[in-house]
Amino acid sequence: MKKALLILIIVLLSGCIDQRILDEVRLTTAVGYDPGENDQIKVTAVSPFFQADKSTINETFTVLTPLSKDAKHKFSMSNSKPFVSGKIEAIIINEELADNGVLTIVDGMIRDPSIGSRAYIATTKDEVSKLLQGQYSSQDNGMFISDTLDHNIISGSLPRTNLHLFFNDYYAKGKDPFIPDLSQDKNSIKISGVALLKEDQIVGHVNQDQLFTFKTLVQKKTENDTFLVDINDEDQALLFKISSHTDYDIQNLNNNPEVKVKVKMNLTIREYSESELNEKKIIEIETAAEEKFKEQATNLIQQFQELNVDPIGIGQMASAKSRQWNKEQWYDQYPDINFQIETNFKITETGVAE
Amino acid sequence: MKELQRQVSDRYKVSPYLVLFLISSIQIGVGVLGFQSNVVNIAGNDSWIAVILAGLLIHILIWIIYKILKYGNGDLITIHYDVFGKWLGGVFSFVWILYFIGIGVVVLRTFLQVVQVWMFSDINMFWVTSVYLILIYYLVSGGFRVVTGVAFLGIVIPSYLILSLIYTLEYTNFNHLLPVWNHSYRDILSASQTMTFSFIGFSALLIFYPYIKEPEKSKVWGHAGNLYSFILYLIIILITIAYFTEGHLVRHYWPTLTMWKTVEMPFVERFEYIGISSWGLIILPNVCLAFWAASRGIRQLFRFSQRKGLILILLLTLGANMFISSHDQLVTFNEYFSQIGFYLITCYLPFLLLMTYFRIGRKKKS
Amino acid sequence: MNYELNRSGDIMNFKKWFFKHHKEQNPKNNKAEVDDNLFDLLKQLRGSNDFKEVVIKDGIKKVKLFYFHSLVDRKILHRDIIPYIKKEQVNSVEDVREVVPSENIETTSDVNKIQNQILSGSCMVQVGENSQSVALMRAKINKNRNVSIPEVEFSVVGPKEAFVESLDTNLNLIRKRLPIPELRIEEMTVGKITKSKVAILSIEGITNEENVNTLRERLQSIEVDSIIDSSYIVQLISDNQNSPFPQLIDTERPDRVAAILTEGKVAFLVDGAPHAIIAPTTLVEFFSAFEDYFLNWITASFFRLVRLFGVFFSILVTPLYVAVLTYHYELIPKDLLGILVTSRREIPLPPILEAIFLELAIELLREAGARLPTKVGQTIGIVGGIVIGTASVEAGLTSNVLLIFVALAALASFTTPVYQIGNTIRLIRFPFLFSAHLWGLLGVSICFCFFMGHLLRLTSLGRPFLEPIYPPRVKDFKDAFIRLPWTFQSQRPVEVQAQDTMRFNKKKAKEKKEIDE
Repeated sequence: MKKALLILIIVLLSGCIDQRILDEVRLTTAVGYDPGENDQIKVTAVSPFFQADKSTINETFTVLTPLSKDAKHKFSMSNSKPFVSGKIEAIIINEELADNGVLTIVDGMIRDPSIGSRAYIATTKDEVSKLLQGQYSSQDNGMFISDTLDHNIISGSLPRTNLHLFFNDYYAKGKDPFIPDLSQDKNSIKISGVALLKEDQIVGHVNQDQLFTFKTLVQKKTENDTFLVDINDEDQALLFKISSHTDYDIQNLNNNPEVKVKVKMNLTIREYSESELNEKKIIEIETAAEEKFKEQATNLIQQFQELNVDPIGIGQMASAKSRQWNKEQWYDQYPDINFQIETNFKITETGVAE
Repeated sequence: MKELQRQVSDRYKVSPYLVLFLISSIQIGVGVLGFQSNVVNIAGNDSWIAVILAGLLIHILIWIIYKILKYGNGDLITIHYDVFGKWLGGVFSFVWILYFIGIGVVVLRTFLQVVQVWMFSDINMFWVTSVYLILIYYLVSGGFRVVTGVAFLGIVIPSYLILSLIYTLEYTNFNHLLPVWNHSYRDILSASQTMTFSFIGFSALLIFYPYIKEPEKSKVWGHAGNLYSFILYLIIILITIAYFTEGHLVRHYWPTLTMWKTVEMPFVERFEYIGISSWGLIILPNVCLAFWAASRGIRQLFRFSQRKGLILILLLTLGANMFISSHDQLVTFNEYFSQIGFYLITCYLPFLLLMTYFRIGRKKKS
Repeated sequence: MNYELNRSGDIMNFKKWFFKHHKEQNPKNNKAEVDDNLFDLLKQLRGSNDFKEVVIKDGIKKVKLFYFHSLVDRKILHRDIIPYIKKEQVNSVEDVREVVPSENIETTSDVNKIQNQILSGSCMVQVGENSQSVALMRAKINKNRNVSIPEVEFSVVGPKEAFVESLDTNLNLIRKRLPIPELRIEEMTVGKITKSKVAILSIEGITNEENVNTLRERLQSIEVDSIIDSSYIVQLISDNQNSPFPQLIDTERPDRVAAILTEGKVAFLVDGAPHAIIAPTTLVEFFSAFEDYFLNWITASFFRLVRLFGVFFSILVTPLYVAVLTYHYELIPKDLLGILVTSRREIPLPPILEAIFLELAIELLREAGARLPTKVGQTIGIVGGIVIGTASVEAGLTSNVLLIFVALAALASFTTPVYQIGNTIRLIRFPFLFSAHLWGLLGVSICFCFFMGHLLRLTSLGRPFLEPIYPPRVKDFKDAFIRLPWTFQSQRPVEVQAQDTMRFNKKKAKEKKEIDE
């Protein structure tokens, strides 16, 4: 009685707070940023329009605004339902715009509690508004991009990335962030590689065919990826990575650092252009794979050193080893560090057939 | 006018092992949501050492409190009365009562701040505070047994939240903890001083001691309670340091909530909303026990009805909650309060122990 | 352990603020107290037409028979009483005792007693016109329902006897299960008008006397004039009468009563009520069906957990739906978004109204089903459920996702084995629903805290109601959420504070056989 009365009084007097009823808001699943005219930013929002037959139509909205945060307000002005940002799955930034710094755009995301930290942040060379407009599947493009990146991270060559990891790397001493690089491919969206960032500016790229090696280097433990190897310029073998383990051993930290990269990998043979496969051949494939990996890894690391970016986080590892570690000094040394790559590949399975 | 009560009827007493829940429930509160950024700001990746130091310090203080209570044989108010006399003792008691009220206010207000920032930016502060205060009145007026019950359930029911930490392990990198001890002693000590603020509530033991059956036996449970919350804080700070890089961590007011953002289950995402709502239960024992202690103190000091004292406290809290209107004000208030609290428990308690020993303890022995 | 018994103190305080205090009004005394004079009593009784007055023998001393023909079995009268008095010489009341071969005769001149006896089915023999002393013979008519199958607490296995409306039969059902001299039955009457007989049952040497005393005191202090059923008493003696939670269990199974008596609890029966009331009890006990004890402990424990899940599901699922859809869309995994949005696409009502609409529909169906004869009720339930459910989804009033939730919640709430707690669950869903609408998940959490506090404060016969959860008593968990095998049940529950805590020797029961011996 007492409680009922009190609750009633409260209901009557306080009224309700701002409701965000699921079907009365515009869920934004992806936002894209393009450079606009007059130093403005062209913001594109993707929202799913769920059909009665359970399919989804991709809807996009575009506004021009000087401030990225202001966009939400502007979107809502021209729509029957308010825009909400709680379900943003992908944030896509045009590369041209990213040259001015990614952080000015995404800084608001760290303040907004409604944005999840599993959202993806990606970049593209194409115009984002066009990229987001296409209907690529029965999903809206936010979900589509998020699902595409998701499964490529779990079983593919894309290293783990999301908003949380981006901020983690950005604020880390001795590590630089990277974000996936997307591109429009006829009627689909393709992962064309990874963009390397220094501070919050894009300085370089890793191509799609280098991603296998990049992921193995960047992530301590990886699994489920395929690797195409040429053997003696005639045969080709498609290898499947069961697991890999990468270790960095930093020596001589203080004056002249040297880094040993140890990569252990277990592989299986998925496809082989020759029909016969014997032990000798297997060893041959192993060596070929190791060589290709080494070559790619050396190239990648050279690229990093030239750009003076550290997506692997060697600096972070070094800082864990030494109390005197210093960020400026480290980046001065970084381009001249000698990397040695040791590989240990093993083909453990050859499939169910002989 | 009532009498100064020195003995409590057996039917209101609680079993000694419940002290475990009383102590740990008042230590685990809003602090868990955001203590990391304050500590890491000072001691960086060595913050976990600061947590350990703070935990050990509290163990010593609990030992001191038990000694005081053993010599004084009563609660804080009667000890003050016996040791310092009516007026001076009364002043000290009054400070402590204010301090207990302060704990309740800080906890409730900080929690509501979290609610406001993370969930409902336009929630009516007056009404949500009022509803909480009515709830607290309902619980505290049930007596100490009910308050203990709240403490018990406030630990047991939300314990499922610990499991959610497993989901964050996916993103942890324990290399962040290395190199160990790359901060100065000063930094680490000052971080552990900040840290004690989270543990501070245990001093309610000074008031509820007479409500424990065979209080001597409860000693080990009191320490166990502190150990529990201390280990919990330690696990959380270790995971937090591993989860964030340092620069990223200090940008967040409430890192625990940010960590919950990565929890993803097939039927639910974004665990922080569930976490905040569950925290509505976790802060309850904090506030109830603090207000119970304060109102009991008022009853003992001013000798009038505990119920009326409680209503007075609640009105005061409502006023204070309305008065603190911005995040900055809250932070300032928290800082001042934690300073006062720190000196109250680290300097005043040993002083009180000495005084009690010389005024009462020694006489008893001889 | 004793809990503070400030049962309605708070409420009184609260009322003082808001309402004027009404002066207690004493009801005008019914003419309950009888005039000392037998003559006056007879005069009053003659006012009823079913009061009979027969002269059996005319002589120097008239022998007169008085009785209510609505209360007396005429067969007994004509077979066992009248022939004997007619045959023999009867000069005084004492003679009546001599001649009538029945043990149920007493002579008395106490008018009060005479009144009570006549009104409860005795006949009175008066020898001589103005004699004050009379003989009373029991000739009560026994028209009772036969002992039948328990309907509310039906069990597939186990005994199939249920209490009936006669106290004697009910006591017989219990006593035949506990053939020990320690079984103590204490009778008293309650209610000024109905004079209902209440029997308190306990086992000496096991039951804590404190429990029996508390129960007795509370029964004695009942002021209400008419007690038609045991449920009146339950409401009157509950520790907190302003609680939606029942604090005493009523059961229609004599086997259950026998079992709880051996556990050290107290029970009481009311004449005219087919239920026994058990006290003290705990919240957990409301979710244990007595059938649990007939099944293997693993199955029984599983069913208990299912029931417990059912309770939480039934209370929380609609409030959570309302909270999440109104405020916390972020919580919904991306794969579920489409389903939820599509199901709500054409619905004009906010989630709260949608939920209330469906909940009310279900409540109406239940209520209609309960008030109608069984067969019709079932039809209404099924037809109404299907028709209204489908129609409201098609009309776009409710979403089909919510319909599934509400129907499941209703189903889950039927799993509670005790009827009273089922009603409570039906009811407390609504405060949760409203608070979910008000403050989303935080509201649900606050509402939960209110109920938690309420349960913490509740007591049953002065014993904590939330036991063994709080105060935490590990020993009592053997028969709470799960039921451990009988060999583990060697101790009586701590809750009842029994005098003899051991039920049997655990070691003997647990002795294991050696392999192949």
